[in-house]
Amino acid sequence: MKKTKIGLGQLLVEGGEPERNLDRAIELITKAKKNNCEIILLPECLDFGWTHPSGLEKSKEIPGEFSKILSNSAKENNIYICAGLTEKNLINNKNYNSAILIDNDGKIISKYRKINILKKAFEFYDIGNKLEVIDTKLGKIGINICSDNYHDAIDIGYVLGRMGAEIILSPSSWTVDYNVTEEMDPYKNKWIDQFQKISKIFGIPVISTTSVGYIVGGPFEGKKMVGCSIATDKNGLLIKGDFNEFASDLKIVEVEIKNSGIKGTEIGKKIYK
Amino acid sequence: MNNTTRFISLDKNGICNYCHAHEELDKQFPINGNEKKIAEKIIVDGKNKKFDCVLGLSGGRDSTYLVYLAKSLNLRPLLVHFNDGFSNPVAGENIKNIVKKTNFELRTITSDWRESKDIKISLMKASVPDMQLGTDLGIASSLYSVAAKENIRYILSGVSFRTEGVVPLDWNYLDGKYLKKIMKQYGTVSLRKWKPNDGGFNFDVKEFFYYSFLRQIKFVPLLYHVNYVRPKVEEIIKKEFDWVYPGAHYMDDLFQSLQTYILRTKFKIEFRRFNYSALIRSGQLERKIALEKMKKIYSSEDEKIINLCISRLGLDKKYIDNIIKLKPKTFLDYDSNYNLIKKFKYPIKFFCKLGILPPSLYLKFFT
Repeated sequence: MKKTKIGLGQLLVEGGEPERNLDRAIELITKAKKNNCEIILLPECLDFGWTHPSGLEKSKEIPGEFSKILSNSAKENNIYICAGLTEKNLINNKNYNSAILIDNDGKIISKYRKINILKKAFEFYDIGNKLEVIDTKLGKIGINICSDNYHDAIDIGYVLGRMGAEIILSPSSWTVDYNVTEEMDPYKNKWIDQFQKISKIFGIPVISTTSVGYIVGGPFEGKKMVGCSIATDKNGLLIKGDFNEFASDLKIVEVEIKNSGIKGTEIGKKIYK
Repeated sequence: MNNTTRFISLDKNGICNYCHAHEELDKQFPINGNEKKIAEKIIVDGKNKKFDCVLGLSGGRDSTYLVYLAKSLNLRPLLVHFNDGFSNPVAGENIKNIVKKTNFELRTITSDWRESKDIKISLMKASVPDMQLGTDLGIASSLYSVAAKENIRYILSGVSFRTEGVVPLDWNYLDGKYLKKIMKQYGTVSLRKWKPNDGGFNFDVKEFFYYSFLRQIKFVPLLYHVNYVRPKVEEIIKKEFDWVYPGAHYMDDLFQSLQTYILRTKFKIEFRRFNYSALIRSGQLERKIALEKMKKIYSSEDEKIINLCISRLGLDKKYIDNIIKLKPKTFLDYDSNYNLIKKFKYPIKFFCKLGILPPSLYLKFFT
């Protein structure tokens, strides 16, 4: 069975610095291609940083200035990109915490708006109203974002699985308190339990890449992102990114993207047995 | 050096006290291989411990070379990086590479941004040149806290008087009480309280005595003992760690950009002056070339990075312009431990000689 190489681009995201962040994202995309990755997964809100106040005013449409930079890079490097951006919707003048999937021709083939927004982030992002699984050359890809994978929001992952996702990609910005250090386990079971549950039920890989960096604005000041991105499949944890809060890094994982065969009412039986 | 510091004095031959301090340090710390003996002692004292020393790592040139030196001397350091929100990503990449290539363990001590931001703004409002006071105290506090937590007795420092020089007291005054007084007057958030293993921004006389005398943690300026020549050092660390120059001296911290700009325009202070003076005294730079360099604005004054610092602090250019217009002050305008330290001149000299206090401390205060 063919395996697909996926890059987990643990990007350093500096709050309010979209140009610097996108420059670093392009470096990671190029590095992923050099390592023969077919997909690179980048973090949530990689332009302004998650809940950075500047995103409220300066966010861009999708497609728009920032997504175009990523699209050009996808085409140039012949690679799929899944990345989180802050989206401005000029029709209703609302902001969304969005993720896009760009194919290797540079075309945006899916856009997802985050649903499980944290209460403190309501002033920054409106709630998304659609889930989608997109059929690609590499398989059926479902996308969700960060806290969509909370234990009390696992239904979102379940719905993607029910819709036939053969892999779930999740741009994230996992935060911890400022005083968490390298010798600690930053998240314990906060994320991995749900990932493993979904992977096991649907027989699919679930991959999340978090940003790294220090939160310098907005309601989550005092927190930081320290990496440790994870990928799971039906057999458990596949890979874990390094603990780091000051530099981007790329981890590579090889996964099987395939239809596990389970569908329809059979899924409910498996979940609620 | 020049008369932008009130602490400068010239002897009958026109030689300044900072030149004498340099000569004194040169005598105290000759380049004679003593670093090997120091390392042997650290190794013996650290036997059966996971780490034998703490090493402060910023990803800049000096601390990166210190890692190389520690590895060459078979030391087993615990690397400690302090981050208060202005870490330079280039220096961050350097740290990542160093950790990968040495397998040394790293501990990143991060401040609470609400505190560190408030400290930076308060120091600007206080109109003093010591705008990095919080960061400097945070670094010292982190190194000692981690050493105390891990029961490590030595802290290796990457300071080098031969390339860095001795900074005049009124350009950069380091004192925990001074920070507390400024925060009381200008701050909007309370500094978190000191704990032995989590010092925060607290590094006053009491804390210093706790670490130095009760816990017997020693500060070791290892680079004082080696022939530190910048171009050679850069060659080594580029080869060993793929090290990349962060853009300017001290630019492992992006706030240096804004600080350098304010120091030059408001206080007529340029840290390059004592840096270049040290290089001239060490024979690494010609005076004529240094004077030429001083005519140009230093590369750390990068407009984009200055704007990044301003916006990261939630301020704007107008706010900074108003800060620059405030009447310049020094630590002498605020309550601090300065008078107390002056009273203890000879005990400080004694403890500096024993290596219990950092050796340059006496010279910095009493030169």
